[in-house]
Parts: sequence; structure tokens; C-alpha cells
Amino acid sequence: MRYIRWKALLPLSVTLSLIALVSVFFADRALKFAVEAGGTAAVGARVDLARAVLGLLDGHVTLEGLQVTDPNSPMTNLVELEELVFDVGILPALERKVVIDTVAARGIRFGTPRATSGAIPKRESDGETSSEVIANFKRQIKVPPLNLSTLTQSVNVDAISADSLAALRAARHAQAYADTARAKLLADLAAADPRPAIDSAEALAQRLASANVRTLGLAGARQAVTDVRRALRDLDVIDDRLRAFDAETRGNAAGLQDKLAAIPAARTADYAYARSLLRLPTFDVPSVGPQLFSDLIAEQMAGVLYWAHRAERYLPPGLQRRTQPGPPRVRASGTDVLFPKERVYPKFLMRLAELSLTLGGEGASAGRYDATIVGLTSQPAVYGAPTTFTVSRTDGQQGPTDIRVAGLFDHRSEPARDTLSARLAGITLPNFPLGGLGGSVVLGTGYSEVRLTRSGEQLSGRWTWRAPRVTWVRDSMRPAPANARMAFVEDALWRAIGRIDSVEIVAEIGGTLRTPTLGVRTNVATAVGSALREQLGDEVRRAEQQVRARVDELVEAKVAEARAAGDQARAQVTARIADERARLEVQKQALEARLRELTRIPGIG
Amino acid sequence: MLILQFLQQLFKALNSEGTPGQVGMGMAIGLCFGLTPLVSLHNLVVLAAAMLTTVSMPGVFLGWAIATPLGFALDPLFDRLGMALLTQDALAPFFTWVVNTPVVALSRLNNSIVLGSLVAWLLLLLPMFFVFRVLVARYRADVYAYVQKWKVVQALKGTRMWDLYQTLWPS
Repeated sequence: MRYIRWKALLPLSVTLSLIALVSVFFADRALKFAVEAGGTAAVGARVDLARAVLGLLDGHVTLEGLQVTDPNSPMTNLVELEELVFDVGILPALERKVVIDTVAARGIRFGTPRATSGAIPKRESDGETSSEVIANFKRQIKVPPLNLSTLTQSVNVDAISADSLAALRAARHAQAYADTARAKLLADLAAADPRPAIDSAEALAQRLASANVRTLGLAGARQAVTDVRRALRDLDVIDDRLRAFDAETRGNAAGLQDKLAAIPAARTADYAYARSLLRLPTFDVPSVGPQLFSDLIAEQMAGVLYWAHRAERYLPPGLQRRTQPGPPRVRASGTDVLFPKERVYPKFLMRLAELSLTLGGEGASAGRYDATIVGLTSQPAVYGAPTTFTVSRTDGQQGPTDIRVAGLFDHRSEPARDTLSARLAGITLPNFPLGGLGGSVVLGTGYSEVRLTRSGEQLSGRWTWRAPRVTWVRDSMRPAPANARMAFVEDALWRAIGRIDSVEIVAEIGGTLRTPTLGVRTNVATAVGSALREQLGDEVRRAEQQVRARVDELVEAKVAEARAAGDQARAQVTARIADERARLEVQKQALEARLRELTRIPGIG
Repeated sequence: MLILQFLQQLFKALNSEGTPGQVGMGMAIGLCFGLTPLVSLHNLVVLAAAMLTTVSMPGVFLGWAIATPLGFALDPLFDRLGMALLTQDALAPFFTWVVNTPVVALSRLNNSIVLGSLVAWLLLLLPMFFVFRVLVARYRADVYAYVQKWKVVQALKGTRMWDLYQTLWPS
């Protein structure tokens, strides 16, 4: 029987050729689909492509009409390119990898409007999205704006709930500790009752008090010595146990002291908590800065950190096995498992992109821009080098005189490190709304510098805005303050800040992406703090005193109770131990005296 | 029309000149196209194998037709099987080689559905060959003549639709 059908060779060749032809025919469409799907996943918003052309023979890939949606503004494109031409490696393509050697771009525009929204729905499998992480970051970093309205209201100390006070909880805890320790020690003392042994020793001492060798006889005297020695040993054991109880009592007293010693710190926190309930304005300069500017700073920082978070997700460090959703198809997509390995091609690599473009005209954005991206890859550990990028602008007709942006993503190993430094001189700075003061400061043209480092979860950075000539704009549409006193205070504040010509705002960021910290230093805060102190110092101090008095009133009694309970417990237990030890000592001395007498008898000692 | 097409495949395969073994092996091979994602590199290899060997091609198409709905239904199972294999540490060097080797990487064997369904098909290949061979032999011996006598088959064959269909796609 024949098993091979040689005459099928021709039809097979024809079939395979047809499949190849169909594949080539659909390759452009598949590439377009892959760019849109991959780009959308990486950016977190829609990436649209008008046309993709795959030059299989020369390794050229041309993308036309690429639109990348701004994830923070779905009706705006982050960037739009008329044409992007890549040189793609053929050999890596046979491993289903994309290695781009060179890139040329034409018609780059930023911030163009979109016809349709580029927002994408959240999939359940996505987990916590970058947008959610950033929204949470903004929530954490923002602080309530300066609030002057409470000053003119009477201070309601009844709002301070006793249950919310940490000092009160600490005092209750200390009292419970003292009660428990006392109960335990008394129970232990009762369980190890020394009285029977002491009574027995006393009886023995009395029995031997008038005894001598004649009444006891030689054997009786020897037995008496043995009994006395045994009783003394028993008393020693009981004495040791009482000493241990004594030591334990002292230990408990020290423990209670520690608990009582923690109460003042808790009370300080309670003062701050109670003060925050009244929303009294602070004069403290480090606190005033965030109150005035945290809103806008949070927005600006979030924009940068969004991309750091995307990089963390799509440029994962290390060579561990990773999973990603499989390709979309009519059937289930399944899961792709990636097996990274050193010294091979990564799944995606753009070795070098040097982009130069000139924006014509007389506008602020006109000028020549140069951008370089080196080693952009989806598998940094496989590629073995960090991704770096630089952007600079020269020949500006007007607007920014100097723009230099440099960044580095080092995700080769844990912890992943990202750094960004940007220096922009002669740019139009953002208008900063003045939180709580009903107006804004128009910074105008100035200087901005960012240095941001992320190492694993840790963030550290500084963003500086410097404006030599600012304009203060008071919101005329804002409703007038509720009463004359508040209006007077507000006017005084505006007079104080209105004297400031140049503004410097330095935002220091720290902590982690999920629990960030923000510090703001600015000469505006200094002016506002001084003006507030001058106008409101006495009123705030009075309100603070009332708050402290209320906290003291709620806490003091309980602290005294706790201290008394501790003292009482200690005294009770110590007295009981002292009594028992005194009785024991008497019997011990009596028995030792009898022992000395008995052992002087010849033949007994 | 799909049902007619399927019936035609069925009759064509079962009544073709091939032996029950050839038809059974054709059907077992054809399962691959239905059980695994169609646009996969391994299906080209299987297609070449089916064409170059003397297995029954109608049998291949019949196997494919039978397995296509099964493939959709069994995807969750294939996913679990594939993931179980892909996460085996002992197999990691093999899969690392697969995804980093030119052409072999195009097989997408690091996808849980592709791998799970391919392995399932390979495991089923021989058992299904024997099952299909027995069924085809039994059909030819017992069922074929009986089915021809069915009024519904005779009625179907007497329709103009059947004539038209035979003209367009002769069996």
C-alpha cells in the first residue's frame, strides 16, 4: 500500500502559495490592527492608524495618519503624525519580534483635536489602571484650600468627640493594663499561697522551742534537725517565689509607666485632630504652600507620573516569565506566556530614533525640535541597556528660548529606575489658582525645571516654577465674604500678596506613587502666612486654647484614673508580698536559731 | 446550505474509495483544523501531511467540520491545559527555545489556547483514528444501504435543489 501521494506536491505548492499570497494581501491590515491594539494597550487610550504598509522585501514599514489620544483628554490627540517610516529587521520578524533600526517621521503635530473620543472602556482583567492610580495619587496629594470662613464663626468644642481622642484610648488602655496586672498577680499569689508553709514552719519552731536532747533523745534530735532543714528549704523556695512576684510587680509598674508616658504624644496628636475639626487657618509657611497650590501641582505631577506608571507596566524589569492576553480572534484569545532570555532580540525594540522637525510660522511653538530615543524596548532585561530620550528646541522665533528634556528608564532589574529632568526657559507658565483666596496668580513668562526620580515604589522629585513678573487676579465673580470681618481679612491678604512681583514655587515630592508626600515652598506662602498671623493671630490662638482646654478636660480625668489604678494595684500587691515575706523571715530566723542549738549537740551536727 | 454541505462531506467521505483506515486517519487529522486555532503555523504542516499522504481528503474535511464547534466549546479546557504546560518549570527551557527561534516562534506555541488545543489533538489523534476507522467500517457494512432506503433521503435526492447542488458541487 502506498502511503505517499506524490502527485499532491503540485496542489500542495499551489495551496501554500495561495496561503502566502493571502497572508501578504492581509499583512497590511494585520499590521494596522497590531499597531492600533498594541498602541492602545500601551498608552491607555485609543491609537488610530489610517493606513499601514508593510514592505516585506525591503523591511520598510510605513504608518500613515497615526493619532495617539491623550489619555487625560480623550477628545485631544497627544501626538499626530502624517507619516512614520521604520526600517524593521527581517530576522527578528521570523521570531515574531519587532526590531526597528531607524525611524523617520513627517508631519508631527501635538494637541490636535479628535473627531471622536479616544477613551477606552476599562476591562475587568485590567486590574488597577494607570488612570486610577493617578486619580488616587491626586486625591492623596491634594490638601483642602485655605479656609478663612471658620474664623468668624464661634468655636464649637462640642464637636470634639471623646471617642476620637487617641490620648483617651491610651489612658483607658493603661487602666485596663493596671487592672489586669493586679488581678493576675493577686490570683497567682493566691494560687501559690505561702501561708500553709509558713504556718507549718511556725508550728515546728514552737514545738522545738522548749525541746532539748533529753526530751527528744538522740534520734529525735537528729529527726528535728532534718525537719528544720527541710522547713528552711521550703521557706527559701517560697521566698524566691515572693521575690519573683515582687520583680513582676515592678515590671508591671514600669510597663504602666511606659503606657502613661505615651499619653502626652497622643494628646499632642489630639490637639492637631481637634484643631483640624475647626478648620482653623494655619500660619505655618510649609502648610500654607500646599493649601494654596496643591491642586495644580497635583495635576502637573500626575501627568508625568502617568507615563512612569505606564512604563512600569509595559517595560517590566527582570527576566521572569510573564503573561499577557493572547491575540484577539473569533475563538478565545488565551494567554501568551513570554519567556525572556538574555542576548536575544526583545519582543519590541527601537534601537534609535532621531527625529527632527521644524514648526514654521511666528507662533510660540515655532522653531526646530530635535528628539532622540535610544533603546526603547518592551523587555529591558533582554536588551540589557536602559532606554534614554532627549528632546530639545532651538531657533525659537518667540516663546521658549530653551527647552531641554532628558529621561531614562532603567528597567533591567528590580527596582526599576526612571529619571526625568526638564528645563524650560522663556515659557508661558500655568496660571495658578490660589486655593481658598478666590483668585489666581498669572505667572506669565518664566522658567520651569523638573527633576523627578522613581526607584521602585519610591518617588523623589522637585518641580520649580520661577516667574519674574506676575499678575494677581482677584475673582470678581466670587460671592462676597459672609461678614465684614472675613472681608477685611481677605482684603488684607490680597494687599499682602499684591506687593509680590516675582514668584518662585518649589514643589518637593516624596513618598511612593500610592502614598505620596508633597511639600511646597514659595514666597507667596511666606507673605500669606505673615499676613494671616498679623490679622488673625489672636483669634486663632484663642480658638486653639479652647480646643486644647476641651481635649485636656476630656483626657485628664481618665489619665488620673489610670495612674491611680496603677498606683493602687502596685501598693496592694507590694503590701501583700511584704507581709508574707516579713512573716516568713520571722519563722526563718526562729528555725535557724533552733538549728544552731540542735547542731551544737555532740553527735548531731 | 451549510447542513447540505456538511451532509455532502459526510457522504463523500464515508462512501469514498478510501479504506476505513484512510478515512479514519483523514478524519483524525482533520480534527486538528477544528480543534486548534485555524490560522496557525502547525496547521500548514498538518495540511501538508494530509495532502502528501494517502489519507482520505474528504475524511480530513469531515473531521474539520465535526471539530470546529467542538473547538469553540473546549477553548476553556485548552486554555487550562496550555497554561498548565506553559507554567511548568521543567518545560521552560523548551518554550524559551521555541519563542526565541526564527520560524519556530511563528507557531505561537507560547499561547495557552494554541498549545493546549494542539496537545489535546495530538493526544486524541491515535484513539480517534481507531474510533473513526471502526465507525466507518460499521457504517459501510450496516448503515449505508439502510440509509439509502430512507424516504427522506430519496425525497431529498428527488428535489431540484439537490440537482442544482450536485451540478455546482458534484459529489
